[in-house]
Amino acid sequence: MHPSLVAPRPLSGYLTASLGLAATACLVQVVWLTSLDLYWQALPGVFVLCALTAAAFLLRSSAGDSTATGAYASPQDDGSGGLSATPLGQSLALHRDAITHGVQSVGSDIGRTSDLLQQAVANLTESFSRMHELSREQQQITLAVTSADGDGVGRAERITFDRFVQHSAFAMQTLLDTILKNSQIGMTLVGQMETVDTQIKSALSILAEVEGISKQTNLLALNAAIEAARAGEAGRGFAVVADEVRKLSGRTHHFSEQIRQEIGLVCGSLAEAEKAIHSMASQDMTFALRAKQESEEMTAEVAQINAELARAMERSSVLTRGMEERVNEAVTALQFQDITTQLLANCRGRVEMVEQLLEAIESEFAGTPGRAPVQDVVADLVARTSALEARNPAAQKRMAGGDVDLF
Amino acid sequence: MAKTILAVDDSASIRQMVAFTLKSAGYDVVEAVDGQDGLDKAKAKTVNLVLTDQNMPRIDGLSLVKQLRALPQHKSTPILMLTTESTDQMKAQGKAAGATGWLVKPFDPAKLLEVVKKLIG
Repeated sequence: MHPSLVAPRPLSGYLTASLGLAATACLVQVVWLTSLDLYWQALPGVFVLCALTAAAFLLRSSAGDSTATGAYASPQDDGSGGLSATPLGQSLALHRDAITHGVQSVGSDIGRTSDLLQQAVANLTESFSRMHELSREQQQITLAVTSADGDGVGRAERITFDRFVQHSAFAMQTLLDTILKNSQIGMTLVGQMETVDTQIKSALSILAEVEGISKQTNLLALNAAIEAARAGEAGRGFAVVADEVRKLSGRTHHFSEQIRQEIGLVCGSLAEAEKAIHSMASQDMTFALRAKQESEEMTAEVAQINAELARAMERSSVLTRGMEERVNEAVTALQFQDITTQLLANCRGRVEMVEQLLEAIESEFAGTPGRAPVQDVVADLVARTSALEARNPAAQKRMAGGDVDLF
Repeated sequence: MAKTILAVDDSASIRQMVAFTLKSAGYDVVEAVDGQDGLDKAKAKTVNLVLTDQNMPRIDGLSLVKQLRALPQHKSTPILMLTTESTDQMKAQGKAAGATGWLVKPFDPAKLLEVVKKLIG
């Protein structure tokens, strides 16, 4: 509801209209600057707007005291010759509508901007939260795989790469020591076998001597039997003795043969054993040396893998810490939405002040009964603007982390 | 058992960020959308620390601090103001009302956690 205006005197009317146009231009500038988030730059425009309005009011007042005498008539007095019907009245009404529309558009845009910011920041915060959780999860999985106590509960006995290398090296060294020891024992056995072979040959030589004695004894017994036969009856007893001696010689020869056969079998077995031991000793040494070399190479490779893994773990930890720091920075930066929303609310308040000023000007022109004087409205707006300046709830001009005070 | 922190702020995104920061450090977080909601939840739940904004609908931060201090169960509960307000005058009012500390937005998550750990472990 806007009251119709009645034509003022020509000169002051045109001057007032000019000031109105200047105020309109100023308001458009204010609206344009606020739409670009240049709130601080728009502030002087508000003051200029107030000054123009005050000037228009003073000009109107100085134009004559006709307000009280009816030169400015109320809408009810308009009849057919009201200002609303004149080009100036229509022009003012047009500007008033444009300004009102502009103010409403700015308010609407500020509301939409706040809503969009809130939605976008909520989504971004959710994304960063999830990213942070995933990063931590990834680090914990890596720790669980590679560290003995990655999950922190009762996993000290779990085989790690370090322990694997240590166990493998120890087991391989023990195996090597055993094999080398067995090889040495085998070589000793080979030497002992040669000694046994020599001793057996010596025993066979002694056995040959025994067989020689047995043959000579047999020969002697035979000669004794011949001599006993020659002696006749007197040699009969001697013949019996000679026969027994010959039998003993035969048994001795028989046992010597048996011993030789047994020794021959033992010699054969010993030769086989010597051959096997020799073969085993020489073969094990080759295997042991090769195994030792392979073990050393494998240990070195595993140690290298372990070292690379440790470096990768360290790098992973650094990356995770870096990601946490970046997420923290993002959380700090994302709080711009809260601060910006408060700034936008302030901006909306200032624009609404312009609307109130416009209403005051209209009332002044229309001579609405009971209206507040424009000077009072302007003074009130200036006071409110100063109060906003003095106690701006969002005075931050940068997005670094704020101060912390503990009382 | 995790400590519980009441986060009072009319900005959903700030509540979301505070909750994310504190939950990541192992705290339980109860959210309140304004001072009145914060007061109701502080009465109904066991709260180890309160983190509140200043400019909120219904009851503002300073009034909330005063009303919480009037409750026997929250006479010694740490209460931190987390707000865009940064003037010495406002901080003095916060201290007089019974606030434990004053954090100016935007908050640094690491600093927030440092202060919270210092106060309730």
